[in-house]
Amino acid sequence: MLVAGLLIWGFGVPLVLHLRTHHDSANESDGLPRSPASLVNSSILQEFPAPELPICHDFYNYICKHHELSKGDGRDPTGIVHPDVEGERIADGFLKNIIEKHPDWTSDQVDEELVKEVYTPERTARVQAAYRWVQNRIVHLIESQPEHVFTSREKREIVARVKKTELQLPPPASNYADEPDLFTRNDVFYERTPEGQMRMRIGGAYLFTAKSWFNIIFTMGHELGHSIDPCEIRQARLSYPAYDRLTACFLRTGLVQTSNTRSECGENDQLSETFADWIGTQVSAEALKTFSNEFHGAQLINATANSVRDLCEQDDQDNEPEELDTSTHPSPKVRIEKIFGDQPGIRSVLGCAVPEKSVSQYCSFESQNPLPNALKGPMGNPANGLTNGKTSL
Amino acid sequence: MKNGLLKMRVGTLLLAFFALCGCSTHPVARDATSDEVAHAEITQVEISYVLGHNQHRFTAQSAAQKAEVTTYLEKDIVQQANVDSAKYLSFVSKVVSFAQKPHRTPAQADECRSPFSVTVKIDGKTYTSDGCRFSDEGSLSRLVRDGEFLLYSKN
Repeated sequence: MLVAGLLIWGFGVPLVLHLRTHHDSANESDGLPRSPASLVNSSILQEFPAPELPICHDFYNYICKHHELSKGDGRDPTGIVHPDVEGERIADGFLKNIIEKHPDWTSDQVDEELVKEVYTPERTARVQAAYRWVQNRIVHLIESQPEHVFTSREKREIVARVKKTELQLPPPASNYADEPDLFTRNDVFYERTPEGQMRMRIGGAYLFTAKSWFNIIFTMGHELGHSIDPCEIRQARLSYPAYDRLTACFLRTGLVQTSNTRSECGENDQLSETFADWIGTQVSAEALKTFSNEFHGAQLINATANSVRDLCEQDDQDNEPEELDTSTHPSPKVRIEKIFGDQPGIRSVLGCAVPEKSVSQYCSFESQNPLPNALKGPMGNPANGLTNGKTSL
Repeated sequence: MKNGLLKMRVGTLLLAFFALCGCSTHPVARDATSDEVAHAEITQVEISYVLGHNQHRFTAQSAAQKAEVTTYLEKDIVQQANVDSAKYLSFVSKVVSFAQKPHRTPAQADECRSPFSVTVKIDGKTYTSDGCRFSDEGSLSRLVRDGEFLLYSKN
């Protein structure tokens, strides 16, 4: 027994994952959702409870503070995630070489050559595949909600927005004619133009920064999530009770910080970013679950960490952590620990304990609104400005 | 036809009037700015903007006929180099011209997820402007792009 316990400690996930297979069959008998770790606790190593993986206790510290990239077989097999600035320096290097080699070229000629060298078919195909995968998963997430969450009409409206959002990638360079500096930027973003076009654009440097499939998935999930975030929905003059419940849950659980200066969907509001992280997390959980049959142990942990590694504060050249603006984004700790690390699907894939209470407390479209009846509007929705204008919650 | 001729005459008179009273500021101001820039002892440019989740900054300055450009991603320096002085002056003129134009959406607007701010100092004089990148028809992005070309221009 002690040997088995030490093995779990020493080799961690491989054994835990192996046990999960056993656990899955055990579930069939009693029908209770239990994590592999809880299975270990309950039926095999009752005298020596198996320690959980360090990541299970503190996603944020494990991913941002202590975690070193594993070498060899322990790596995320799909690739690593570099600091943002490295990707920009690489992309700038391409631009510099082209200008130096061809000082007589016009800026259009330079841009055309730059996108040819940066947005290669191999790099863009990966992003396009990830985008399609994420788009399908978000559509599925919405369509699979029960009727009491979204009516058929609501589903159609939300899904239409997801499908309408276009992934724009060069070449040709003219695809970003109105944003030529993007070729050397690390940013990926969703935007709705003043003309109402919904699109996602990928800065060229991001293609060098994020090699990990899982980082690309989370990033795409987050950005595509913006196409249906509560503020975009409000902007489109739509409103859904399930969104109100989810928003109320974000506020109640501190995933959206409240302050006197917060104006919902306006100044100092984290709602749309929290929602986008939440969508990115749902999609990432699916991706990790899908790949958990192929990846094992440290590979899976690294893949999980890579999903959100770029949300950590990044040290500057003086090794000082950057000061992030949290007026519109939750802090990295909230994003990684609470939104991502508490998601039952993510925890389950890693074999972390998933207490029943945490499943019910994790925000979802089905979250209950605990506001007293006096504060509820028709159909049980908050009528006190939770989704309209300023809130002092 | 008569109406057309009348309008042309009125237009000519108005133009002459504005020219005499100095109300036609655009071309005059542009020339004055080029002169200002050319004769300035110290100039500084700062363009900062939010894109996606990141704060980007482009800074340039000249003193004693030397010009230097630095780009930042958050606090990290991405690139830094001395640049061609003549091209630098031409760039500063473009930035001043940009700063003098009105921008469609203010940076503080609720719907603006990508605010920018542009500041140019020419000796003691400061020009500033802010706006929202996505409703600016690419003018901010093209300005930054010009700055990047300047960065890699041979010194």
